[in-house]
Amino acid sequence: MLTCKFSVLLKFKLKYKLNISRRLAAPAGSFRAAGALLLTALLIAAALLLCIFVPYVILLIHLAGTYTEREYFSLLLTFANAAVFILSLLSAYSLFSSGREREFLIPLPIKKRYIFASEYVTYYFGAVMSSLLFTVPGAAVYAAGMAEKGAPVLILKAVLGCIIFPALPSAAAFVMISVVFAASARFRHRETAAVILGAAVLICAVLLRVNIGSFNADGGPAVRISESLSRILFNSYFMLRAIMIRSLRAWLYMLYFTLSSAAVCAAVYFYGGAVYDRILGKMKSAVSAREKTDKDYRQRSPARAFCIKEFKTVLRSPAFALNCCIGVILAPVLAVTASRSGLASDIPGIIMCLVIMSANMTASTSISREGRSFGMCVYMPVRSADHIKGRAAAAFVFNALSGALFIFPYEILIKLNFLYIIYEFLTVIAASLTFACFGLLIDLKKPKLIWDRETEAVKQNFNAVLGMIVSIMISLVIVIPFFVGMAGHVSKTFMYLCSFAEAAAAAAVGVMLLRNKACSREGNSIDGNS
Amino acid sequence: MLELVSVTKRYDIRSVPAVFDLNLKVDSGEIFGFIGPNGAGKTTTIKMMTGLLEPTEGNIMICGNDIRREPLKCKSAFGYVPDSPEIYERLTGIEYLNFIADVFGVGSSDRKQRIEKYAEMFEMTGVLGSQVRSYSKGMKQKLAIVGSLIHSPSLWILDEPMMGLDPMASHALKEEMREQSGNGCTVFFSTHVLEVAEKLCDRVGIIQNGMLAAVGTVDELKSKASAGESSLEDIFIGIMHGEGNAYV
Repeated sequence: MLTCKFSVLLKFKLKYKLNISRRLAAPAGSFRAAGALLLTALLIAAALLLCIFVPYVILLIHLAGTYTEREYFSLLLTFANAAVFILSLLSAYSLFSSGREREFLIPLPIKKRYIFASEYVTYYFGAVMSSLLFTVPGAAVYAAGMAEKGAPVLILKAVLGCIIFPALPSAAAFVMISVVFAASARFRHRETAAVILGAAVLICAVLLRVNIGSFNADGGPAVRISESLSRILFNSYFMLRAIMIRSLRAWLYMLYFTLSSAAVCAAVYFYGGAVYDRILGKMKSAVSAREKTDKDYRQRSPARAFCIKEFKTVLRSPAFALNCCIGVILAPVLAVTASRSGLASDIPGIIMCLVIMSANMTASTSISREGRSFGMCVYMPVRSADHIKGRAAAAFVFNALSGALFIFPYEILIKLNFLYIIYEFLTVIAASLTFACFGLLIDLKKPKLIWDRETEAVKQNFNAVLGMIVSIMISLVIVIPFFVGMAGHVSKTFMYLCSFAEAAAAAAVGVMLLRNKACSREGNSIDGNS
Repeated sequence: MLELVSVTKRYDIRSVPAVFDLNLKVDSGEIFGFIGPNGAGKTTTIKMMTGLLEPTEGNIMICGNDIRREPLKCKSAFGYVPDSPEIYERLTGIEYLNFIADVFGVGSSDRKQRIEKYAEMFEMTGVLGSQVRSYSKGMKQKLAIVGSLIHSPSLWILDEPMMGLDPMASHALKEEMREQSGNGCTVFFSTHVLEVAEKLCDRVGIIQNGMLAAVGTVDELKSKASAGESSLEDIFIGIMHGEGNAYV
């Protein structure tokens, strides 16, 4: 009976997380809509393949040819551990910062620990996905180059290992975030404290990840650290042996691996649930705190009022702040670490900067973040142009801030000519406007207005992914002159000016499209999307 | 002030209309109560009046302007309190009110005076510094009411405004409706509380299955009613039992 309840709950959670039912229901009865959905999915898959997967596989091929089998897999597992840990930090943060659906689950006749268990399973499911994404291509690349016949077994062991592998990094991320939230609960402004401490933990994790060695490092220390880590962390230890040993003993390691991971999962399940409930209870009580009334009655223009509202909404919500401003949080850290890593000689700063800026989803979730409150924009006497202008301005500021926070420290540290820094900054400004306009255009098309948890509006929002991909595509176009410059003899000034001209042209197109869209939406009702 | 001309709303082209051929005229300074059972079409009608939904057929005129042709002029004229206020939860009460005032272009001194007046009236002064998400349902409702009055509207539209309000706030709201009406503002509200409609409204309209079944002052409706129907509740129940034709 109880197991049945748990499976119902789990099914609901997974469905809710993956949003399968709604995605499938959307095109029902319309072949055109289904075709459009399929085409969009294919385009996104192609873009992901081009922007992320292909460079990753090229890097893996290079590493497989450079290092010994042991070194290669040590590096791969270190990278997977760090990636799963960082992504799990974000998932755990979402888990703690949203607890609204528990309000209707707790009064139901379901054991409290089942509620946590179902949440933990969905959390673990996300970690397995990221583990598979980072590790299996590595094993496949290595297996493809193997002379012996063990390739399919190697892939099988890698896939099986990936299901168990995230137990340790995901548990570590869970513990770390529970510490962050437990500490935040002691502050008066608990949610603000959670945003700041969460960002600090994320920054530390990225710094750690960069410092323990990256694929770009030239062998030596990176490999040594990876090898040491693979001896310390039990998941790397067992998986490395399970993959490398070609005899039956490998399966014994796989068994140890499974048992030790199950022990970690059990510990998180039994102790994590109690901690989770207690912390959420403390965070909830923060809401009732009364604050002093701010007596500011200054009149502002509607566009400015919307812009200020956007800032306040994004910065006050942990879920919005961490997902929308991830570029702002990470830009200075990445600038300092990238300037030290020796990347400077290979990749111009502007390329890295544009990629970081693309991660901001302020514009592409601007309307979605309103949720059911969006109705207010319809019945209030505000011109579409005004509220769109306010939203675009806020997104522009976040984008430009992340760009500036990367470009200035990075280029100053690598001692780039000041004139080039100015050119790059101008390009950042133009690109910020472009990303803001195109992001808003995407979200205006079909915003996700029905959500219960704030994380759904950003993390489980298709527009956010689409916005990111479109921004990366635009970035690739903007940096074409640099690729041309790397290949041939083109003046550096010409490269920078061309890049700026492209960004400015893209911004002009974005502004024009957004203006047309604003005009066409004037006085629109919300039939169909409410 | 407010005129609905042959308004029909179908959510689906083949479906039964949610509102059908609705004709209604409400004059300046009038308090009009819109009554009907659940699913009769009250909220749909109000949503069409506020521009949230588009009528399938017909026109809605507010202060002589068509809501579809001149949406901004119409929206500047009315204040609206939705049935379940979805207010920006991450803003504080005062930030929300300032935001609304900015959108309506209300000057600093006017907004200050109105915010202070209505916050005191609805006992909100002490909580305006807190974020909206910490408010109870009733407090959110009161905030939406204050927000709808901040620009001194000439038409005040309220959808089930008494829901979630405590008796004090409910009383304050009724008093404010009377005061607004006395100042020439038209008040249009939907309600399930028939006693309130009977005591407060200059005229009432009863909607059933998307059609206006009765309209007039309570006395007019009583005079048309069959013997024994002495209250608005009796009339309402009579209409629900199929005696609607007698009132149109």
